[in-house]
Amino acid sequence: MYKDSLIYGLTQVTNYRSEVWLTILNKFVYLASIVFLWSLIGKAVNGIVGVTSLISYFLIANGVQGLVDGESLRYSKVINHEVKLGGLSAHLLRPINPVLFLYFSFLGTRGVTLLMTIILMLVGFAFLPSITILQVILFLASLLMAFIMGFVFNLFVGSLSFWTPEANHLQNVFSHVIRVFSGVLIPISFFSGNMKTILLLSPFPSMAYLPSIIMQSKTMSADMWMIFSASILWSVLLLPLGFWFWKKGLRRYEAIGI
Amino acid sequence: MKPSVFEEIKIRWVVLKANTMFSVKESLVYSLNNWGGLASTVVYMVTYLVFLSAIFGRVETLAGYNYSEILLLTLVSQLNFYLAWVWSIRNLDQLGEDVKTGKLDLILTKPLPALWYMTFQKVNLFMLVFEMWPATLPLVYLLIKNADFHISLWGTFLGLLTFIFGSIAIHCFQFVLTLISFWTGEYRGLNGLSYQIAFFGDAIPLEAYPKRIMSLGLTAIPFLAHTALTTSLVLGKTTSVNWVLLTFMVMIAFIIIKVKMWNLALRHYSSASS
Repeated sequence: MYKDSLIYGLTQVTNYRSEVWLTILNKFVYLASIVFLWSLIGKAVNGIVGVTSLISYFLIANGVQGLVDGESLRYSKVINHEVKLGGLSAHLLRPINPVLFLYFSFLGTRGVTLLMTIILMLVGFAFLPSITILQVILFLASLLMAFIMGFVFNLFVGSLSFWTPEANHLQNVFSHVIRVFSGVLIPISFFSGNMKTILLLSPFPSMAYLPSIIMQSKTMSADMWMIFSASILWSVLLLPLGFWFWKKGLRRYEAIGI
Repeated sequence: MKPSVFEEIKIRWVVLKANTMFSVKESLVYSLNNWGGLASTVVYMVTYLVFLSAIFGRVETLAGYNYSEILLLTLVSQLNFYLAWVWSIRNLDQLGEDVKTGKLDLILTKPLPALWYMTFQKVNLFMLVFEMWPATLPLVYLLIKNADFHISLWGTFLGLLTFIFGSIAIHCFQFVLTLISFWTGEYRGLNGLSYQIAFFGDAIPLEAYPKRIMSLGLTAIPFLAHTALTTSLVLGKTTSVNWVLLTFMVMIAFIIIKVKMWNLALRHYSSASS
């Protein structure tokens, strides 16, 4: 049933091919502006970072974040829509896990976008001088954690819809915070002092900074180990918490009797 | 009998006033929505300022602009952003939706100047009061605290002109892109792309662009006039009046293109629905 949901979502989105291409073009323009800005910054901080390295960093970081839906939090919008319009009730009656069912349906609608983000990451890899096996293994491990964190944030923000139907604005709030603190707009290494330490220990860098920086460095620095360990901890802690929050909201939804 | 010029202006004023009042009432009804919007814009501004301070913790200048000059560029960009949300972007979405759902049929039957009505269908002045000023306050505070630039009255006047001309030109450009939905039936992708182009590189000063992109951004795709050129003129980095004249001519050209494309799209729309 989850597979059917995925295929249905994919069929739905491919019906509007022009929209798909325009979305790809939109992302391309956005990335062009980011890369252009950072090429200017790269020149200004001469000797600290190379322009090629920055381009690679942003392509991979944006690719990962797009892949795990970490910034736009589109899955949370799907949950919000289902809760607000009462569509969730139909899913609750069926012998399925509504969170997973909706997620697979959502994944299907993102089929083309996911392909694009993978291409984006591959282009980012192409800018790297060389890649080791260890980097690939660590990258895949970090990608898994990025996926978990992206899913948890979506589930958390989506579940807020049980309390307020205007969760779309809250979703924007989270998006802004994630955009800056996950490293998709600015590498965490640009922050300094306590701010940097707090960010490294927070769950945000695992969604873009960590996977991207792993591919940039041949060896794991102390900072990278710190984010890696923190990410594992956050994943273990937040995934059950996300489901707990969903269930708490669901009880409220059922109590209201929508 | 053809109405006089004064009657034409009066009708347009009445339409604008009625749409503005309705939009304000609409905004006031959804108070929770307003609080959510305020939270979103304030958080955006604060995170953006964190982003800028992190960058300027590492660099002295960006394309010749120091921290305070970039803050001024951000302020102009923010003013543009809110102005676009107040009268342009929502109307573009509404136009696309009206074409898709067929609601445009109803609007076309009304004895109103249709293009004017569609341009100003929603004018959300409430956003200026409730979202713009609270969200911009941290930026204004930092700007005053770090002010390290000189601005002249003449430069500010020229900047004001390019701000207005540039905003109108980019609106017309976006409107023309939305009109493609008369043929495709879908508008979200088009509007998303036009928004991305309109606010391309809003943190990048004019002087950073290569000459070819600058020429393109000030003429065919006028995304540089409303923010980058305006800031450059205000700061006195660009002094020639020719740029203002060019922006004015581009605005006129885009208004003409908008009207022509609207008529063309309407002809297509009529033939499709008849």
